[in-house]
Amino acid sequence: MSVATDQSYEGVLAKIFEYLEEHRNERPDVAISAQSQLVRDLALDSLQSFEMLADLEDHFGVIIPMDLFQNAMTLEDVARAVTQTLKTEAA
Amino acid sequence: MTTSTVAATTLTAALMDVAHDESRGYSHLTHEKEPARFVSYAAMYQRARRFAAALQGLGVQRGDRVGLILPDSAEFIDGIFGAMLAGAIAVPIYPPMNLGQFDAYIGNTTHILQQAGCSVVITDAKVRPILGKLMTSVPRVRVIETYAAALRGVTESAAPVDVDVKPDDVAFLQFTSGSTSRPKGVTLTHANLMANIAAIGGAQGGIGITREAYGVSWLPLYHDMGLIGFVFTPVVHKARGIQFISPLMFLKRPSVWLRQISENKGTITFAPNFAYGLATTRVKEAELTGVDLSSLVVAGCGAEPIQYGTLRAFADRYAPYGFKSTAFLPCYGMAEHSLAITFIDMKADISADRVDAASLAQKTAAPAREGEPAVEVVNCGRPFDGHALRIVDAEGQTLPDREVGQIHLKGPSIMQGYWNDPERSAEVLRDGWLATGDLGYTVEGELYVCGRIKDLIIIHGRNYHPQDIEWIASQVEGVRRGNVIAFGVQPHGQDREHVVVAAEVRALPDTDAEQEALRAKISAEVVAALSLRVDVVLLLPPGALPKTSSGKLQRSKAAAMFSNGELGKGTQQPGALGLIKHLAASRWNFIKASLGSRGE
Repeated sequence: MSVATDQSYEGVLAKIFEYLEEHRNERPDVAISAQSQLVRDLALDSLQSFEMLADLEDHFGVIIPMDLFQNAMTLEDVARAVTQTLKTEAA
Repeated sequence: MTTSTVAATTLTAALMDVAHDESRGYSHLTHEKEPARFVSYAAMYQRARRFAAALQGLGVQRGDRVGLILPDSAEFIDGIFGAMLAGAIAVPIYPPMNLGQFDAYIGNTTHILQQAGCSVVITDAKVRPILGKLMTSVPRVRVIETYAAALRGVTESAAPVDVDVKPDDVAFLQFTSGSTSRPKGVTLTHANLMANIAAIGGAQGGIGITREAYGVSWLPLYHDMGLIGFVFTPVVHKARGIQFISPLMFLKRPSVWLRQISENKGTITFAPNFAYGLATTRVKEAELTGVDLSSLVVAGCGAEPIQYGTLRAFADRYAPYGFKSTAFLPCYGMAEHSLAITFIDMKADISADRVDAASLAQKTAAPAREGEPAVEVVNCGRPFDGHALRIVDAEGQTLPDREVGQIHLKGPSIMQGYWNDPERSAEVLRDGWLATGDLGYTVEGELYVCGRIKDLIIIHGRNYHPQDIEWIASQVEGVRRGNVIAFGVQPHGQDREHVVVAAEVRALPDTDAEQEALRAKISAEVVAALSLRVDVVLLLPPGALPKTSSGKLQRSKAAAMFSNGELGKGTQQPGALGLIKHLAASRWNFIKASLGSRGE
């Protein structure tokens, strides 16, 4: 929640990449991209996805509504859910 | 503090007993930002009556099965009680969890609706569009309606035509969860449920539920522990109230569970083992500001194998927050026995039996000597008054203390059978005894549960059938179709069973990178289809998997071979100490192998 937190779409995506580089142990060989699917490409199960979401919430200081997240299939979708929440919060 | 005595003989009668109580009831927390909405017992009764009238308006008759595909919500509670008031039989079905698994979801739902013979399905606006095809694939279903649309047909104060509900009437069908193949409809009467609920809350052998009791639960309401434990039981015992939390909220941020216990001065909660593990490892200190767990009298643990270490770690972490480890209540239960089977004494602390690992392989739970490899088995307590429990060997002979065998049960909580499935009912119900398919032993009347004879893999409270995993892995290019075995092993001291997939391949890829890619592909397919993480994928040459003379795959033998290091040559051989630890960890597979597995 530092002032320096980059809340742009690119900033959020970069934070997601950073988190996954640090935490994932399932598919270290697979390159991460915005189009990577949580389940199919990165082999994250639902608990791991939720853990990532909680980490993003802590980092950006927001609560991401579950219904926004539930339909997310790719990292891009997750980043959009976070950015959308950040915008709504700021408004 | 007055412990309630249960006079009602049906759930509908119990519901009417609280129909005028405006001050007690439940709240439902579904979104972080929305305050939980309070519904008093009186309001709950009115809402259920209105829904019952709506069902009757849709032509629902006594004994008709009504599918309920609703998210955890007040509407779900209206649905289940409303169906009962209308004299119908509710069939709760879980709503789809994510977009990736629609085919499996629809397949499962179609099977349940067909098996139950549902004529009416009530759902919500989100789910309604994906159920479109069900009307044609299940001709018996004549109405699929949203909850809101069903209510539009009746006024707010609408009342159903009274139905005289009898104790022997079927109250609802609890379909066994997890399998994408053939879920079974556990058939429970009002008498079954009332017997179990009375025992759960009773002062002797139960948890002595008082009028001051307050439950906190994030368990899904379509799950027996959530539905019977936290929707029905508080009503029957007229408890102060219940705080429901959305399961997804809990999974995202486990601290919400602890915070709600603290805020509501909750006295009773229940959860599977993994939840206590999550709450220990995933909660940050900063999330616990002001949390006080000293109100908690019962922290029940059941629905999946209990790990002593997990509960101890939770107790250590939360002792500074007022948690008393004597609140822990390890228990044994299953849907076929309504809900609960054994509880430990309420005032007792959790305890584990230290058993010699080698003796367990021989089906004897001999106490371990100091310094020898030991297995800790949690004490699950005694069966309720009026209920019986015995341990039997493969021939059906009752075994003495410390001999491991199948757990058999008898008493008023036992289901009538599996709905519309006499064959599978007869497999488990014989001479009034229910064969649980679980392994355990007793010591002076107290039960120690060891594992399952069946090869079910239970992760995070959900059941996975090895057949499903095998089928998915078989579809991967390069895998020999029908030559895959999946099984679970319990690594010692860990929360979660490890899932092993052993697959025969036509030709082992040349490079390590290619082999790794194939393993990764198999893992990814299983995760995609079942949301199940695979821990180990073994690629084996043709003929490496154990089979019977008739060519059937032998799962328990494969698991035992894996534990011995015999399966998957070329994999790292652990040293002597490592091997002993490994043996201790995967102890149950030996017993499973030697007792034989039902249905194999």
